[in-house]
Amino acid sequence: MNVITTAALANLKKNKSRNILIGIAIGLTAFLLTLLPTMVSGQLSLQFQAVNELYPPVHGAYRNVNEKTAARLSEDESFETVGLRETVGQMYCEDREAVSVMLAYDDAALKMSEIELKKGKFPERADEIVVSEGTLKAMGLEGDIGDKIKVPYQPSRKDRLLKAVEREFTISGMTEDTQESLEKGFFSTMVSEEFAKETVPKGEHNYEAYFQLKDIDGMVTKKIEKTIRLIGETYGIKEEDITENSTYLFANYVDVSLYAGLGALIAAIVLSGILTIYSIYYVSMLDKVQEYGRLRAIGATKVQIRKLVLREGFAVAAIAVPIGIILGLAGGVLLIKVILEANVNADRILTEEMKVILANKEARLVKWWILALAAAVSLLTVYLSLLRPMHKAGRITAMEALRYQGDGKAVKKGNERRGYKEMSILKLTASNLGRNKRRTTVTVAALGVTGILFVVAATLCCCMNAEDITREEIRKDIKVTFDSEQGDEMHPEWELSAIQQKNPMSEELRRRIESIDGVISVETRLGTVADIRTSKEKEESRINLDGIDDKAMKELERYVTKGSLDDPALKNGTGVVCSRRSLELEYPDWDVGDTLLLKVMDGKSMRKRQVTIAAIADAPTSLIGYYMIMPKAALEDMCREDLTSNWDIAVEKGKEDTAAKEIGGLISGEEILYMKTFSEVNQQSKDSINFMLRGSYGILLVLGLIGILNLVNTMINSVHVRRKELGMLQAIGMSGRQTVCMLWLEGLFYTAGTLAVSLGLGSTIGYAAYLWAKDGGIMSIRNYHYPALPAMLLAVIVLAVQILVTYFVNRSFKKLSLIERIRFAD
Amino acid sequence: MGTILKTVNLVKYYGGGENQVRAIDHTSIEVENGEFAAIVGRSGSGKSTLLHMLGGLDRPDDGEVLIEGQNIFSLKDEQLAVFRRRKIGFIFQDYNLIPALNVWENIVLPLGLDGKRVNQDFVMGIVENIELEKKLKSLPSTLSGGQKQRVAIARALASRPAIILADEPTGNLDSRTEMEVISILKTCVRKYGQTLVMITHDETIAQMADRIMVIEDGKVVR
Repeated sequence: MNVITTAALANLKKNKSRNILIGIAIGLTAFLLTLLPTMVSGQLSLQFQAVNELYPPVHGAYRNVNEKTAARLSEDESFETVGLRETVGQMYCEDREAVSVMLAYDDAALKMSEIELKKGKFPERADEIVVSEGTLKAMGLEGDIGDKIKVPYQPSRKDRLLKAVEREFTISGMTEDTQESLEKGFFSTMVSEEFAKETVPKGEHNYEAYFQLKDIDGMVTKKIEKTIRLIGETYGIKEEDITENSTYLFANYVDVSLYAGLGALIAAIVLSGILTIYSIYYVSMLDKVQEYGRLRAIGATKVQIRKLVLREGFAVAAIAVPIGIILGLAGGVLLIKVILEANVNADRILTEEMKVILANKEARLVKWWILALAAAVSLLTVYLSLLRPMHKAGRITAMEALRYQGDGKAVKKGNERRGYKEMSILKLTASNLGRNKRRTTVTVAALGVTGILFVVAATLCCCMNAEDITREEIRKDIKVTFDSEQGDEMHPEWELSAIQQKNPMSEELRRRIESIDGVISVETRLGTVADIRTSKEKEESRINLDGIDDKAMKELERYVTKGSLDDPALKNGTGVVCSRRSLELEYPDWDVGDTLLLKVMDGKSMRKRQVTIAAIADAPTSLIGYYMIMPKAALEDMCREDLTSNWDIAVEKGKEDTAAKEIGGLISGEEILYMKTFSEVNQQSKDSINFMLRGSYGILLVLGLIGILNLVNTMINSVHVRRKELGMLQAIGMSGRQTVCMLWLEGLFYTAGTLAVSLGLGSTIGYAAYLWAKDGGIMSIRNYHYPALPAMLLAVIVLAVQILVTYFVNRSFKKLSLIERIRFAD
Repeated sequence: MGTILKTVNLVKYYGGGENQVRAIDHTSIEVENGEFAAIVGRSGSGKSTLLHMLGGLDRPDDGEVLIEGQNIFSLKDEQLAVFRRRKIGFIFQDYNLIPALNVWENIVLPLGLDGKRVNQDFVMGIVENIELEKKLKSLPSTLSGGQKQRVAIARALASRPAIILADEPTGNLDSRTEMEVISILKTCVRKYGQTLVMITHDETIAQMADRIMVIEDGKVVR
């Protein structure tokens, strides 16, 4: 071992407390650099494997494909395989509790779907069928392989279901029921292509074309999705009929945004790591000037001094990095398990499959490349943090060190300071802080950066609000509405036009609901559909048009982004307010002032009405509807039928459950009516964002820890460096209380500085991040919520840490006698 | 005149057993009001320990230090700090100025710590005596050793303490500056009627005092 390494190791012991602090900072960096990638990549490995087990290897699908297009698609060179599936009919069932669709697959589709039969074979003849036990039970049938069953079914055509007929089938195979289909009562049976040919007349076939693209290995998901859309467009397939198998694509191809997100997170960790380690070195370097100077005096070269600093740093890293990585790995694997067990993923089947894969140890959670990368990035972080201190230490000359009195950098300009006429503790503190402005700035900036990251992350967490997501769907406490169905010849009464003519949401029912104990108000919302033809599209498209009352209109006011609700067109019944989101998605050309010709459904008739877009609002769907609204009175004037489509019911606090029960009882007689309660929907929303929230709060916690560590270090060092000076101040009469007061004031300055930077800049950047997330529709963020609680928590924690550190620093300081402090020259 | 400073059987030992060092061994001295007393001794004789105890910076194992009749070690730490800033002025060998403060601020700092208003004329008078009127805004890092020690002298005088304790005040200075600083110190204490106790290992410097006490192995021998 050469002399530099020996000296570095000796220093390691001498600067024990500083090196422990640096060790914790390095260890924490390595911990995070291992934990996050391990967790994300492990979670993804499990998910990808589960996706490949569960999802068919299909890249996308086109719906509503006619025979001609289907034939052309099959011959297209862009595809590796194209398979066709057709919904031939729906088993007929008296009530609406269970549905079983009858699907016919061609060979390619069957192969791609990877359906496995429990027993038997796939249907080939027209009278063969594959069913599940669940289907049979739901339809009131019995049978097994080879048995004949009589099945009443409604043949289906594009957008409609014909009257029911009955046919005898032989069960050729049985499939397994999924938990989900049993719960939801939604089943599918398989019939043969022959049956499809017999049932659907030529020219009326309506396929779903599943495909795998050719030559897309190594392509990024965004590009694949674009290709799918482009090909679809060339075949004249409507945008809403094009779907990508995003989950499968995500699992098998490179998703740039995922890696960009992970990269940003790692960059944030590295940045806070560098800042922390650097600031610890920066502060403690002042204390070591004499030591390095002495080494220079006895003949050490600049390079040797630099090596000394580097080796001391790496010696700490050699201990801290492995510990950090091991803990990070353990934490990461543990988190994967915890997340899976907590069922935070919304897709239950996928979660279950992931659990099976995890239990069978089929996925590799420990990835050597992550560990190697974490080690490399941690060491790089240490190296980067050491660059400046190395350079500084190397530059110290022997003379400089011997003259050094802890003055900080000699003032270059003027060598004077204006100063105060009279002194006080406050002024003394101010002078101290001003002595090395750069150090003070670096410290506040280092503490502030972590604070900013904290506030930004907290802003996004707070904006990820379950209530906002819930409010999209449900405006008050309980919502009562109906389900309509288009084109079912067996149930013409389920058509919207029919419902409007004989609306079960009668005034009498409304009053009965209103009289339920706890119900405060029942607001009526109208809803119908309207056909519209835009200049671009040849066919008419159907949109929703809702009518809202004055109260709701007033609520809408704050969401208006363009135009005004005071527009005269709204008053005289010719104005509409459009939803910004649907305009952006579907009609980007529309703007305030444009006129539209609507054909509004009013029972049997379609009423033509020219309307003007009076305003555009970015409001929750529960308020603005899917496309547009107009004042309730105007819609009532326009139409004759009862267009009531929604009751938004407000209930007194604590009486929601009993009221919901009673409402449920009142509407149970009407088959098509159903209700949703805020608490129920809110629970679902919470479940869906919990996963993200937990992750984010985890990151917040770690960021907070890094920041606190930094604060503690800064304060300990600032006292450590000035031990002699403080002792001397006490010798000339500064009392213990005054010392504490001065340290406390200094800490308060750092606290205030950190908080000002964190909260000021953090809130601004946080708001920008919110706008970015809202615009990109990330994490269902809609409304801005200031992270008041985390901000307060940050302030309280920083303040508490500061008070505690001052207390402990002063206590350890007191252990030295005054004379020891004054004598502390070396 | 009357006694302003008195020690009674002062004892301070370091370590124990064979390694015990008797830094101060049953020492009793008295200093009269307005007197300039020098305590002379070789390195390790215990003179600095004695001075530190006279100033209440270090606590003795036994014995008393009385300043204006008050046993300073009967005071609690906080009371002692207040007593120190009101009654005692310190001058250290390595100046111990606060690097962040300019000359003026360093001088008036003890007054500030005591919450007293600065008597500008009085402090300016001291500044004129130490001949640093033009350096009031300078930072300590820009001053020479002699100038720094003059600032330290002014700081010790500014709060008009009952007694000034100087610990090898010229230890870091060259011989010309040494004489200059001692002259200024002597002139000032005379002018402001203060008592000065100075420790030094330099007999020549000690000669300028009204009275010389010699300390050897923790005991005042002369």
